[in-house]
This record gives sequence, C-alpha cells and structure tokens, in this order.
Amino acid sequence: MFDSVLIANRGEIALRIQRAARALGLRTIAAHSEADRDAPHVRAADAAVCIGPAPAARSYLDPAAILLAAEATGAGAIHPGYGFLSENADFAEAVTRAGLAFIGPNASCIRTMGDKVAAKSAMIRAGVPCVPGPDSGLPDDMAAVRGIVERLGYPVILKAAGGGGGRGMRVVKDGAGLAEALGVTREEARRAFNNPEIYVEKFLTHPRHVEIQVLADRHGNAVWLGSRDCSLQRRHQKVLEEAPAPGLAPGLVAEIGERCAEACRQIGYEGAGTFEFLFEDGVFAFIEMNTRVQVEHPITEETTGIDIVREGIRVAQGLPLSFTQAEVGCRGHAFEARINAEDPETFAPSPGLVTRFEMPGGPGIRVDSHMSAGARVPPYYDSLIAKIIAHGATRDEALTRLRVALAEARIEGVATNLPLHRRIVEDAGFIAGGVDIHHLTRMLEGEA
Amino acid sequence: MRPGEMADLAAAMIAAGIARLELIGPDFRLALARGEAAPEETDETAGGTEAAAETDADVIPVTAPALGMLLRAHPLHERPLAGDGEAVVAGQAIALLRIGALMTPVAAPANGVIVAALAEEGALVGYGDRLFDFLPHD
Repeated sequence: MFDSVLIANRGEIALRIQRAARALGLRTIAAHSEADRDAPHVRAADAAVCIGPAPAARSYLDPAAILLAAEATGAGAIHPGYGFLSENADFAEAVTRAGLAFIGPNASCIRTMGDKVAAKSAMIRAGVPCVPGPDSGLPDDMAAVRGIVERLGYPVILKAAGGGGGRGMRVVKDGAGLAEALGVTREEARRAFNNPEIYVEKFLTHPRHVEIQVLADRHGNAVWLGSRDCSLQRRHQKVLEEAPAPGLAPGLVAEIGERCAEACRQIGYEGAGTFEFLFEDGVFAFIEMNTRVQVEHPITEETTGIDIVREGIRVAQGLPLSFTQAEVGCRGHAFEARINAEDPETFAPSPGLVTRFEMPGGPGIRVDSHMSAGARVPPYYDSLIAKIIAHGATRDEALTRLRVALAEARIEGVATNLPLHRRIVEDAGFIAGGVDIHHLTRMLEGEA
Repeated sequence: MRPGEMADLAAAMIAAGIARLELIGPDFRLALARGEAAPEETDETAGGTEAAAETDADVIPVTAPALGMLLRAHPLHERPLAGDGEAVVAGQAIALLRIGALMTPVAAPANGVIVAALAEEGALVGYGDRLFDFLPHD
C-alpha cells in the first residue's frame, strides 16, 4: 500500500488532492511546471520538483517527465486530477508498468470509455439507457441508411465514431438533406480522425445535462452518490452546476443511479467517475463517461457528506469503500459557480497579476481556490481560478447563500466572470430550475 | 548572451541614467548595476558594492535542462566532468542529472569556467533550477 502521492496537476485541483492526501497521512509530492513554482500546493508539499517549462506539452502533458519525477522522488502513486493526462489510457498503463499506483480506473476502462461506439455498447449491456440509435456504424448502402434513419425519426445527428468534444457532428432535419450530410460528415471524419465510421442518434432539441457521480473499489463495491445538473453551459463549457438535479422524480434517478453502479461492476471500474446524460421529456440518454474526478465534485460532497477525493485515494490503496449505498443520502441542495479569469463580455482569457482576492464565507459557503492577492494567473492553462460552492437545507436557501456570496466576492487585477454569475442567479428561468443546455446561450444573446 | 552585448547594455544604461537592470531569458538571468548611482545600496561599503556589481555582470547561471540528481562526476569515474575554475568549451558536459539509469548531461553554455556550484552533489534538482555560476571567456 502506497504512503506517498505525486500530484500530476496544478491549480485548485492540485490543492484539493493534497488536502485529501494529507488528511490520510500520506506524503505529498508536487510535480509542477516553471510557471507554478510559487503555487500553494508546491509550497505545502513534502517534496516538490519542477518537471519542465510552463507550456503544458512539456510539463503537465509530458508522461515521461512525470514518471521520472515519480522515480526520482520515490512516489508510490500518481494522482492525475482532471484534464491533462487524467483520461490518457497509455499514461495510466505506463504508471502501472512502472510499479506505481494510478489513482483512477485501469487503462482498459479508460480506453473503452474513450471510444464512443465501444462506450455505448458497454452501457447498453449494463442496461444504462442511451440516446436512441443503433450501437454500430452506418452501412455504405444509402437505401439501408434511409431505412435506419426513418425508423429512428427526424431530426437525427450524425456523429463520427472517432470524434469528440463537439467535433465531427452534423444535425439532419429531414430526408432531403440526409445523403449530402452523410457524405460530408464521412469525408470530414476520414480527414480529421482517420476513421470514416459514422453512427446516427436521435437529435434531442431541448435536453438538460444531468450526470451521476459514482465511486467503485476493486472488491466489487460500486455506489452512486446522486445527481448533478450542469445544463448552464456556454460552448460545451459548464459554468454553474447544482446537486441534486431539480425537479426529477427520485425514483427515476435512483433507477438510473443503480444502473450506473452496475455498469461499474461489469467493467471492473475503480475510483471516482461520472456518467453524463442528456435528459429530455422525462427520459435519460447516456452520452459519455468521465473516468476521473470532475471539477464539480464538491456539490456532491456537500449533499452527501462524502469526501470523494479521499475515497478515490483509499480505493487506489486497495481498501474497500468506507460506506455502503444504504448510507448515502442527499442532504439539502448545493450550487457551484466556476470563477474564471476571463473577460465577462468576450470570454477571452484574462491572465495577469491578481491584486485583490477576497472570497466569501459564512454558513454553507465553501471556496476551493489556489489563488491569493499577489499571485499570477499564467496564460498557459485553463482560466479557472476559484469555485464558490453554496450549500443549504433547501434549493432556495442554497441559492440565497450563493447570491450573497457572489455579491461579496472581490477579485481585481484580472477580469473574471463574476458579473455573469451575478446575472445568472437573478435569471427567472434559472431560479425556477430545470432549464435546458441552450438556456445560457439564449440568455446571453437576448442581452446582446 | 555575449560579453559584447552586455557591454552595449551597460553603455545604454549609462546613457539613460538607469541604475539597475535585470534581464531574464529562457536560459539565463543577467543583473547589471551601477554602483555609484544605486541609492538603496549606499548603506553598504561603496567600494565593495562596485566590485561585486562588476563580477555579477560577467557571471551567468547554468540551469538544469531536466530534473534529476546532480552529479559532478560520472558514477564510474572519480574525476569530476569539470572542476571549479577548470576551462571548458561550449557544449561540453559539465555535470549529469541522474534518474535511475538515465543520465542527462548539463552542457556548458559557452567557453569558460565554473565559478561556484549552487546545488549540492547528489541533490534532486528540478527543471530550470540554478546549478552553477559560470564565467564565460571569449
């Protein structure tokens, strides 16, 4: 069992991992880039080593540099956090081959979930509902394609099996545009992903983004920790999340949650993970699984009282989960506002020196941040600088606390999206709850 | 940076009345100071400040090109790759950074000599850490 953890990440999540590891009595090692020499988790680490220059490709995205740092510092485990190498199956494999523990699922799970068609097949086998559509690629014969699409019903979305992140997709509204859309999407997929395989799904026009947090150990235990609603997005980037997803029948969520836990048991999943769904007209449809801890995990920690990062480290040590499904409850409601250093109008990143950094407090308020006055937001990485998390006994109480907290927060020196969050918490649709994934875009366009 | 360029910078500083100049590049850090015009340094002995400033201007740091354990000599040899004050040529390996069986050479930035070692033998150093003060020769 390992007694030291190398943190192969930066920013707030590096600090979050370090807190969990220290609470478990583990030695922490920070592998950092030159831009993060003064980061708080680097200062607080038992050992810190600079692995490369600021650009991520030569530091946080360099598997060799991280493995060498682990060897040189005698690390027993590597925590990848989120982003960077966290969903890189080859890296997970290399860590294990080097005799270290990878804090997360095994490479085979990461690989399966990274392939859209393979992931869908695995979910269907486990009884997890998917977006309607065949779980294999479309044939070459156009008459056969028409048959498949007409049985599904327009509108449909054509997707490249090798695509992802919003690329390689095309919506088809009716039969007239099908042949041309398929030809163009196939050609794009051939060029962009070197894989011309295209599959088709029913296109959902006004879905919500609802996800289920899971935790699993290597002893066959898998639990689900409730739902989150992350529908407030801009260009596929989540802005403000809440737990649980408002207005859903608890019985329906429990049924989906159980199937997610079952899927984990079937594929031999270990660690923290999230099943993402589109939810429209009372129906859940699986879109993808994130095989790592997520940015928005704290709202589930607030509603369940479970330290997800700590549990993730413990299961990687080979220990069983420290609680059972029967002990998981949902206490109140929580929101998380992602504070980014970005221009509130153009959304362009706003790196620079933070001259003032005053975060809110009081009952039910938690702030996860690595920032302070005098610290610098480097231009090389993600612009997330803080997460303001508000918890309350009811959704109304949590929202009131969030509103007060956002009004209290002061950040100067860099531009932030605090003004956007202050607008969102006064928006009638958001206050009512249950808006779809296009709501924020409509809200921004309405004001433009 | 070549000594000629440093002389140009020093001349520009005098022309513009600048007392102190610090320049940090990807693989060097240069500090130039004019002893007689630096008011914050008047508390110290004037002569000493001037002499130190002159030396600092010529010495450049050698930083680690990777992470590893600093070795002045190859593990199979007793003699260091480059002793303090021993003349070396640009690109010559002057130390090694070891991780397991892997050794990354630290190259001399120019013809010159190591003036001082800034990291302990056997210490774990990270990318960009200052290893030596180095005095380039023409």
